[in-house]
Amino acid sequence: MNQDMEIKGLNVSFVDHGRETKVVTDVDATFSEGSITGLIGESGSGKSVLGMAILGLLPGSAKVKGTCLYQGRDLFSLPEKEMKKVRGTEIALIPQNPTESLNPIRTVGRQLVECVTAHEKSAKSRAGIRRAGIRRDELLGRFGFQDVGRINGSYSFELSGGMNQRVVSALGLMNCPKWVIADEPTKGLDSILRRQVYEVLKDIGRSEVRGMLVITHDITLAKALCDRLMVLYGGCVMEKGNAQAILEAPMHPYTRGLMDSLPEKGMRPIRRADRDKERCLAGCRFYPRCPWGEARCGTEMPPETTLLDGRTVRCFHYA
Amino acid sequence: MWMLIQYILKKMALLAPVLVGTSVIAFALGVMSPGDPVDQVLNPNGNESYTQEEYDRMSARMGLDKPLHVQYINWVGNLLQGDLGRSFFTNKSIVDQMARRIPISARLAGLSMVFTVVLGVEGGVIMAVWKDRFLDHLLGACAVTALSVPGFWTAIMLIWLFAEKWKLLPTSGIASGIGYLLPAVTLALPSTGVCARLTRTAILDEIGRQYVTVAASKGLSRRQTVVCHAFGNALIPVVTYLGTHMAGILGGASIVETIFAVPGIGSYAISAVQSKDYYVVQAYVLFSGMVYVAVTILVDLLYMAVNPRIRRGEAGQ
Amino acid sequence: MKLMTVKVKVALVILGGILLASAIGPLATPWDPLAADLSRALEGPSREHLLGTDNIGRDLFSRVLCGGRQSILLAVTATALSLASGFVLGLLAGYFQRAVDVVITTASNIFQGLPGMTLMIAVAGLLGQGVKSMLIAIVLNSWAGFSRIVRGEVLKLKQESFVDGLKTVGAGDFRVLFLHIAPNLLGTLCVVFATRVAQNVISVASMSFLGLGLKPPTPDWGVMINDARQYFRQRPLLVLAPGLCIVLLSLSINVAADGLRDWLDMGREEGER
Repeated sequence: MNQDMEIKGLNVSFVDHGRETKVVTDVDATFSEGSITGLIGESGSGKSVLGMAILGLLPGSAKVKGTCLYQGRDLFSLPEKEMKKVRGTEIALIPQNPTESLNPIRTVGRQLVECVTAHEKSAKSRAGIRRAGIRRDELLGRFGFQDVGRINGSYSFELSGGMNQRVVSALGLMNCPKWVIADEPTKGLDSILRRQVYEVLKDIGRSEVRGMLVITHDITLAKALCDRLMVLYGGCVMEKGNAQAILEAPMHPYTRGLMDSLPEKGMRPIRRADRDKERCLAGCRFYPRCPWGEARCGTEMPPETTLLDGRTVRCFHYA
Repeated sequence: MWMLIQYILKKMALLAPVLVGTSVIAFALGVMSPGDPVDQVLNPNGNESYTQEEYDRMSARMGLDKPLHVQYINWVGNLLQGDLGRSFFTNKSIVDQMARRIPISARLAGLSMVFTVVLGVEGGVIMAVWKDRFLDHLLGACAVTALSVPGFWTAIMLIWLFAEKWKLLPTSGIASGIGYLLPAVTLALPSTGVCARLTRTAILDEIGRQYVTVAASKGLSRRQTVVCHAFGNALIPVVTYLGTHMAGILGGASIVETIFAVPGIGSYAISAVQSKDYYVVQAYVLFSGMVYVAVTILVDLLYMAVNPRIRRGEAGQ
Repeated sequence: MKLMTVKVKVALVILGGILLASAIGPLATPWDPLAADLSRALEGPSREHLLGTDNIGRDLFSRVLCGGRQSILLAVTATALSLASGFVLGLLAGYFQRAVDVVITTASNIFQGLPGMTLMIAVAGLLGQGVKSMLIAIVLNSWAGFSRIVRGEVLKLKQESFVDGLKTVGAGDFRVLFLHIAPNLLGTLCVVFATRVAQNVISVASMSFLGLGLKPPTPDWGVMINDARQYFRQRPLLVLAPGLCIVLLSLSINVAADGLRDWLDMGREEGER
């Protein structure tokens, strides 16, 4: 069966006492089998919300519109009972903020095993737990832990942020999911560990899973890990396409700004943001900061334009 | 293990002032009471006369001629030897009386505690799982009603319904074990309401945390995330409430004990207050303070069981 | 934004009704609540006596109508006094910490440790029956709760930078205490105050029921229930009516307090965004 994940017309907004705030606007995307897609953008660009929307784990105050086709089913309209079976086995999450992602009163080892036992009734048997334990120890070893037994018996508050980060990475992969959504998987790691983690993610992304979504603002990681990229700004996809092409020759003014702000490109900053102004804008979200802005950019949303090399850019400049 | 003992000793040291303070209050209550204890001993029926000389002798024998702080120290000294004095009226040893009544109150408190914990915690969990749905509203209404009903009225109503109208249970007394049922239910009713509401809020607070979302991302159902993950963390404020509540009903079930004629500590205290029985009230206040301290230590131990942060952190350092 | 749920509205209407009845009750009663008529004792409800009469022939409806007056007044006054003393002590404990804090916190631990109802009974019993001893008893029993909350909030607020900021511009301790920290506490205290009033309504009724509170001829719900206990089987209304009044009063206060809490939470959330 086709294992692609196809998002169409995704809109997410949060309703707070009758006031609606849009956080993701008109996102169309296809995550195809065998690819690692990077979602990049600054904090607040809606990239984590996109990931959580796929898993159906947004809080109750979120309103999700659109469809997400996966294995012939729309994940957004799947009943909770079915969605429960998708989470962890079909699509798993490597969450961000690792320390807050782990239950402070349960040992790390138990929380990892639970990824497996949550699904199969038989897995609750002793043999199942033993198998889950073996998988856990293997994964922790791959993520660079030496003393696996001690880690298993620890609580999240006894481990460092970097250790917890690797623990939650293992957590996402425990139940051999088909898809993995990794939210900031290298945050808080030093450069050696970061390298190790993305080696493992790359290895797993290539061989064990069907596909992976990597949410990050670490462009170095995106460069090393991803085949395809999606650049988000203010909840809109600004540019998407082949990772190498985008990183080598960014087209959208925001992507260009993002690349120019990298240390190796001279660290030139993008103009300062005014979030409130952007939110009430009818047109392009990036308009207030855009060096190429025209009058219509503020009132009209630019369409997504597909260029010759297959990437799409949302900017009048290319329309 | 040594760490554990050290931890408990530290907690006890913090609670020592509470114990001393309670004993001061107990002593003061006795001193401030309007009746004259010497007069009451010499003239229990109110129609006997005595001379000033007799009065002074009795006063000296009872140690009441000494300054207050000396009286207090003597009182504490007797206390430490397990002597709480004798009741003015019945002339029975207070310690013996208490020893006979404490198990009765403890049984009543224990049974009511079982109701509170089982119904209150379960109710809170159900309300949290079904937040803003019909079941949440229904149980929420029950809970707020339960905590708004005065215990004495519940008691009268229950006696009327179960003992008089349907003749299912005894009106009063604890001759058979079943006699504990109605008073325990009466005591448990308001605390069940409080406990359910507390559990609900605590769980909902925890559900907002990220580790619960992550647990859901593993494929656990909402109920499973609440029970297996949020619940344990939410238990901490609930345990605190249940602790103080336990201390409260162990010594403070006075009205309910009186109405149901349960010969426990609470009804003992009420009758002592009504007859102005000086030493009994003192002993009772002191007992309540001790129970509070004991329960507080117990709650701390429970915290350690529930919360590994304390177990490994505070006790370990 | 939904300001009030139906539940809260109903509670406020009931509460308003009870308060109104208590305020104008004595003027509006069909009978003198104290006038006994032994020839008409323990009558059932009739057109003349809407709810019937009690054991010495007093009109139940008139007595129920006036029965909340004193206990409400007493509960509110006592809670206000507890709030005031708990507030001051809590502020002092939280703000100055060290020795002041140790003394006040220990005292509040002691008073919270003693079972509330029996502490009240002991105090009321030792000081004699009456309004004054009830006031003292309730204040002794409930100040600690307020002081604990105030202390906790002050400690939390002290962490925030604006207090340091104020000190750098030379604001004195007491100025910071009363003008800046106190207003921040207002919302929480309102909710706790309301809940506590509901509890104290029950406490007052319980003490009156035990014969340690208001004195018998007074038309008071607690006293009435105690008086009517032995005639309960003949005329259940004698216990049901005043009992239901107590329940309704305390229930409507509790629901209103819940509403207030939700409303304050909403305000806080919106302020943060």
